[in-house]
Amino acid sequence: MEKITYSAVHKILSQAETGRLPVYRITVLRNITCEAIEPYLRYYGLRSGFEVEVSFGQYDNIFQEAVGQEAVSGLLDEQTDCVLVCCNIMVLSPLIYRQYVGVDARDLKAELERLENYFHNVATGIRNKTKAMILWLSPREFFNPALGILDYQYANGQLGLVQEVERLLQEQLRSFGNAYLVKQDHLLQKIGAERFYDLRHWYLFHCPYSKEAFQLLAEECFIFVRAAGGKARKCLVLDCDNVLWGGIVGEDGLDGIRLSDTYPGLVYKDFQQQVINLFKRGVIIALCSKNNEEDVWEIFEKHPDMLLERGHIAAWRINWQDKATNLRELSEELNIGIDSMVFLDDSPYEIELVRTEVPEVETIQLPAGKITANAGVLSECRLFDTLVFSAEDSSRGQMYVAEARRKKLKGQITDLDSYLKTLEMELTISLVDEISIPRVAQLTQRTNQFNLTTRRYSDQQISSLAGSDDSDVLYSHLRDKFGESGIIGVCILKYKGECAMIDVFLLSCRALGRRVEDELLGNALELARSKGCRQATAEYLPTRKNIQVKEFFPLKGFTVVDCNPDGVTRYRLELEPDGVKKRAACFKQVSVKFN
Amino acid sequence: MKDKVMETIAAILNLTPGKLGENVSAESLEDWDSINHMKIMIALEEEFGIELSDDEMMEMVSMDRILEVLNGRK
Repeated sequence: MEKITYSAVHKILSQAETGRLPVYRITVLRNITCEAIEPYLRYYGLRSGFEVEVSFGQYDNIFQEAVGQEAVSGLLDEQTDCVLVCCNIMVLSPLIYRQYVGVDARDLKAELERLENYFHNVATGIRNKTKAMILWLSPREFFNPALGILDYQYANGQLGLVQEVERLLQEQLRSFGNAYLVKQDHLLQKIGAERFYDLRHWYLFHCPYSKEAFQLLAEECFIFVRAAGGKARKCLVLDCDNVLWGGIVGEDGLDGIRLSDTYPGLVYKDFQQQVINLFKRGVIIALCSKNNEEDVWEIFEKHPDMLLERGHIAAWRINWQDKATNLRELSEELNIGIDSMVFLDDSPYEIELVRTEVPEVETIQLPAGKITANAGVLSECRLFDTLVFSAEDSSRGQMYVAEARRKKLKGQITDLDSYLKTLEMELTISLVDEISIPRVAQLTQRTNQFNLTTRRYSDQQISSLAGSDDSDVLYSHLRDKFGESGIIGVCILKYKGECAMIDVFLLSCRALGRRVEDELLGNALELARSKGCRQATAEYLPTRKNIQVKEFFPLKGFTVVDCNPDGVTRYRLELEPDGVKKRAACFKQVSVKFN
Repeated sequence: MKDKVMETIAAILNLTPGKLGENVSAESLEDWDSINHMKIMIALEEEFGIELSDDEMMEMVSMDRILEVLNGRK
């Protein structure tokens, strides 16, 4: 836990130049006093690149504000980005929390039903007023059950009931989409109940939490915000010596390095397992190490205790160049933003250099003189946490490894189309379905570079767009002779009369330069035409990252309708009745499935 | 010590220390409500490295009372 005093947080906030940051509006609905969380929310918001504004609902008015017809102005509306619900069980259900002993089983059952209805109604009420992400703090709090050790023996004991309340809430939230349970248990365990709660705050101010708890809770909330906003990190860049194994390969050699099933070698082996777990979750793994390249690969190939394999590594810079330059090169080679990288090293010198030279890269320094903590560092860092897990995630690491092989091939051929032909690409363009929804939503949340409008949608929003007659959600799926690239492009059309509006047009960075965008756009326009549209409109909404697609629509024949000083540009294209021109023949096969 | 208390209270209430005026108390400062009182107590505990008792936390509603408690801890 970061050590920072309350006054220091206030000072940082009052001195921050927030004018240029995007505003992020959080509304807190609560049945407890929790205003003290505000500075921490703003502080962690600032660290995630937002100027945070927090509004609080009235004390113990969650239901009224969520469900009530009279809208409280500015509390829940289209401007709201996040609704944080602090609904404490002590206030919510005195029957379960305080009375419990001697309460009739039927009454307890009725109480659970009441709570389930309450959760449903409040979540529905919030959803009707705003599309904002809902973060609902677990109602479960630490307490000693009234029946002591006996309580632990029964599923429907007091603790069991509270657990059941949490399960009911979780189930409700899951059915809403873009609504998440924020657990407190792991935060409480980190510092212990005595520091997490403050009884003086409870009895004097109706606030159960200590300031440390507020800090942890605010930090936790922003892990959700970052994940939903596409700010989760995508790539882990690792040093080798004293990270993947103990010792220095250039000096200690294959036999001398520490890597085994006993201390200290086990520490490094466990660390490698954590790296592999991240790889399986879809994190791209790269190496950046000062070594002779052949020495490192020798360990990978010959050491019996190596868990990591060359097949896990998407790119590497094993050389004597400075690491800042290496990281820049890796980001270019992998075609990912430098701000989606995390660099891990044991050397304070290298960490400091990277922090100064490429501050966009998040750094992790292994704790000095405490190698037993190494393996925990990755599972605790939370930088790679995401809110959706799609089939692509589990194989993304491999996809990037395949991409590296494609690049090698590209180096040998100079004409792009002949290169693309050698890849034997098979493209499928189709309407989104149940199975592809999570990945399509994820692409809208994560894609920053080739993304014309950068509109972020949740699973639920994609699903309702797909279900509506007034819109279509298309995706493209790519495979080639090196393997699957999976779903890599999304186009969302919204229809209005005879006009099709391109609401989203994006391409995953691993599909750039392969003419996928031409096929996707061409077929999307074809679909619009077949539905009777005579015109297509499109927009370019500039961000710090999507400059590369500024000229995309003009290049595809669209004409500019207007352009405001911020660079927001609108385009139009007349759809000719006789169909679109023939497109590049660089694909082995293109299948279109619009039924 | 008084200056440090002033600064702490001002930071929580989002004022410059000069703007607090002569009589620094919950009664005279509109923004010093129960919510900000809790924040002020959190900040004072941190700044002076102390833990306040239940009653102290309840009673420290003016500069004089705050200094009284802090002086008693020296």
